[in-house]
Amino acid sequence: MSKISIVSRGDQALLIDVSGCSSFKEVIEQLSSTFLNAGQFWQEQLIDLNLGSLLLSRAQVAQILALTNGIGAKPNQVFAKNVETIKALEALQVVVTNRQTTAVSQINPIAKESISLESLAGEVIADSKPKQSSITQESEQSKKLNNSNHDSLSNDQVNSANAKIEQVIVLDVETKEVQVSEQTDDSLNATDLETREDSGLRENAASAAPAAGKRTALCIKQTLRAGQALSHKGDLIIIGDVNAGAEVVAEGDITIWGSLRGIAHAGIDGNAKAEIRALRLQPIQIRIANYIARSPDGPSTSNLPSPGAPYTAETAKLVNGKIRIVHSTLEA
Amino acid sequence: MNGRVIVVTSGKGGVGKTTASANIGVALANTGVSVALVDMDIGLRNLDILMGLENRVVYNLVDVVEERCKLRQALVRDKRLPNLSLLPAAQTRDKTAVNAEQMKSLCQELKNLFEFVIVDSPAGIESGFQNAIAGASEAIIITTPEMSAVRDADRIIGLLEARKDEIEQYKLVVNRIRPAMVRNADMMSVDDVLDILSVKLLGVVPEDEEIIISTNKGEPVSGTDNTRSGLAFRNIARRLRGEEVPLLDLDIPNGNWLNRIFTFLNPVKV
Repeated sequence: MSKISIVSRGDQALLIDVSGCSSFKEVIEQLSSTFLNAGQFWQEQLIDLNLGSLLLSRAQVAQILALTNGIGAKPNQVFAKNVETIKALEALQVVVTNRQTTAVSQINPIAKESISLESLAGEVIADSKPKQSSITQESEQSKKLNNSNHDSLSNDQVNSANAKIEQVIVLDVETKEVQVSEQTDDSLNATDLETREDSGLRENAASAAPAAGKRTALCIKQTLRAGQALSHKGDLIIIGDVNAGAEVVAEGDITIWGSLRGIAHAGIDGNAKAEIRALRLQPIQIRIANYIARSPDGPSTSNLPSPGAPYTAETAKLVNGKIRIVHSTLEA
Repeated sequence: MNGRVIVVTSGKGGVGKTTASANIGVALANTGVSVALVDMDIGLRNLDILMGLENRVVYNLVDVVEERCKLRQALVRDKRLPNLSLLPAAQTRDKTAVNAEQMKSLCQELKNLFEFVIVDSPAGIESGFQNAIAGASEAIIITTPEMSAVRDADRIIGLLEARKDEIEQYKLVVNRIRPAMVRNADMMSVDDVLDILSVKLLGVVPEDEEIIISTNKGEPVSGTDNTRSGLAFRNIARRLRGEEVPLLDLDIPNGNWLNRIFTFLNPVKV
């Protein structure tokens, strides 16, 4: 995974946080690969740079600044904590605006973003009272992926992911927020358990156990179109559609507040408890851990939703080695 | 096995490269030979949709080139024809993801597995096109009877001629011809096109609404329907295999008996 994060902070400049890198070499490598993939996204973009406590010489700082200038970005502020680095920056007549700024966790607009998300989720839970009779199960042909290939695929996609999506909002969920999200998960499961008891899904209703310690969620507020790929080590929340030809990949769950028409792969590191949920599930393929389910054959036009059709939240999960889609209609 | 690698190209977009690739592939496979269809339009892949194989794609050409999977894993076998396979393009990458050398070795590998390798090239004359023709020894140039498409086809032929060592032969398919418009001199005839391009003709395909239907269904016309366009593509496949097949009489399909008499009295060669 990339060791730099790019944070959109409302009307402020985009923050490029390289404080996660351990050496100058790593900063240059990570920055170049990000810039290389993102093309002209950075043109005329106002950016802030957080160097964290990295120790950098004058020449090294100059090289980093040359890199950001090279892509047409306009540097706005530079944050640094290391005394030597600050000296180097000052020697280059770069104003170091705030020596104590840490990147993601202290930025207010993002915290707001996550709160609004949670309240959204709360509304869904409150509204969803699925009837038992309306639950249908659909099993689709599943096949196993070759494990080794699968792994290398995921690594590569993780590497190239950051740069491909523009306007990324990164939610770096610290411990406190993890608890909140876990509670959300639990309450969801409670609802699920009641309604799905007869479907024999109890054992799977316990959602993906969060990895020890910190678990991150990435929230994207945009529609992913054909050719766009997004991957994240952690949970992925997309507020918008995932169109055919787009790919979303996550180590944890994938939640789409919209239609899924492309390919979604949850639990890419082999987590069989990962789930994929969307308001409208019309994927070409669903992949969970090492399993693949594909859409039924038929005219591609038959997959188009009838205009005005109601959204029905659906969840895809692994049950006994098969990907099943649990489909529940909301009560009017 | 030493297969033939044939690139389908046009220069201009929207003239029917992908449709022709799918239909020629299906028609060839129907004659009993083993066929691989290769989608080289990386980033704008369509061939899998036309073939109705979109939901079966797991790995793609770029995965093969970058050695994330074996060639056999990326090949998607056709739903209807077991001797037809598709090597899909990557959707989330772009044309720079492969280079000419990699395409050459990929085509070499495919040649050993299949009797025919049909490469669907992207529009344009840039790196995507250069990569598509890199491993090919034959080319099919698709054009429509419009000045712009013919001009672009001419440019492509020039580029192919410059690589005579690799591209041993190239032939023309005139696509989407409308006999009625040709009769009224509103559209260039096949002879007009040949006059400008002076290349060998491989076939003529009439404009056909069935193509749109078949694209949505994911079933190329040459495999299933008894349409004029499907017949035209089947004839092209037979010619590729060395058979002598006369050109279609394009005036029959749309005509009622009155039209037919009219055509009989005023024959137009299209």
